[in-house]
Amino acid sequence: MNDSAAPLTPHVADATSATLTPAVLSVSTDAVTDVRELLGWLDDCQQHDQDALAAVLHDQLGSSLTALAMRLALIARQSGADPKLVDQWSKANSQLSAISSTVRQVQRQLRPVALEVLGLRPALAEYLLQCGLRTNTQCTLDFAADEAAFSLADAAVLMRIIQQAFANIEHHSSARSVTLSVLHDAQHPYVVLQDDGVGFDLTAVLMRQTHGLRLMRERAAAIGMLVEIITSPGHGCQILLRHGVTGA
Amino acid sequence: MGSPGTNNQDFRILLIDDNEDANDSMAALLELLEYNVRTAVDGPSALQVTAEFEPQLILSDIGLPGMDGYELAPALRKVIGARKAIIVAATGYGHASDRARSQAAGFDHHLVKPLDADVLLAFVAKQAAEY
Repeated sequence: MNDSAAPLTPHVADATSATLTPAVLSVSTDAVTDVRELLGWLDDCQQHDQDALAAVLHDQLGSSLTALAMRLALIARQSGADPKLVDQWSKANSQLSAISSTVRQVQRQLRPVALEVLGLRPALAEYLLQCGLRTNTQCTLDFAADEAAFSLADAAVLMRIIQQAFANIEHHSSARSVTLSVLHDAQHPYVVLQDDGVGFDLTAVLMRQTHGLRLMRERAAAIGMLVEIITSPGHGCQILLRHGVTGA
Repeated sequence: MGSPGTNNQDFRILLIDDNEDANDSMAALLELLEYNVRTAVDGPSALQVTAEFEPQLILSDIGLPGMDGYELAPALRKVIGARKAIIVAATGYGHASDRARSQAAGFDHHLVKPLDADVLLAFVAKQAAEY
């Protein structure tokens, strides 16, 4: 992964652009406020449940599988060269590696622990690296903002938004490359997620009031940011997260 | 990757995990490659071993009972003082969303459990070579 990408520019001059506001979504501000509180609570509940699952995976599986991996590695280094044993060991080791890889992937999805241990930039770099490997997509991080501009709580929400946006890219865009830029203007940090995929008709998607975009918007609003999308069929998609007025 | 006879015995490693089987098996594998390894099962004993053993690499579980990894990392830094030491978190989950980031800033790297033996050995060899 390249950590220093060229500055992003919208690559579609005639793209549809929209900020996800109550007016765009055809709902009243009061309804938005009520639903926003509910979504915030549900989001917290979901994260709590995910934390509990991640803890179980770590405590009950992580250490046991680690011990098993080490024991197998010891056997491989201490046993003789019996071809039958080597073959059986190799198969067992492959199965263990596959199981461990799955457990790690699930844990990362449940909780981006790198964020808490190392900070936002390494967490995003790790996340994009894993996404790139999993989806065979060229993923680039351009991080030029001050990490201190994001509190840990805000950074956690930002990670969830990016995870959700990347899931959409993975499932719908057929993108070959994705660039995530975390930048800083005169006053505030902002985030741009750009893909070169098939794009979509934003107006039609907004009219359907898809839950994914709605949730992305609500999560962004919870940390005082707005979501803007620039896309059109055949021309990729650019998602901009910028500072805005909560409740707009 | 480190191998017997390449001065691995000069590289001191402390493993901290309340799962003794994980600790013992990792230590056995690293010792097979002649690294100098000690283990600890909780925060207080890890601090004591660190003061006496002066490890150059510390691999600590996050989910320790009592003093967890987030509390332990800055405490280890205090014991280590100005001496160079690499502190690595072995993670799978976290529960530190309500903690100040500075409290978790004592870690240099993190590895996600379950750990892979080849990945672990390659990581340790790299740290030893670059120390």
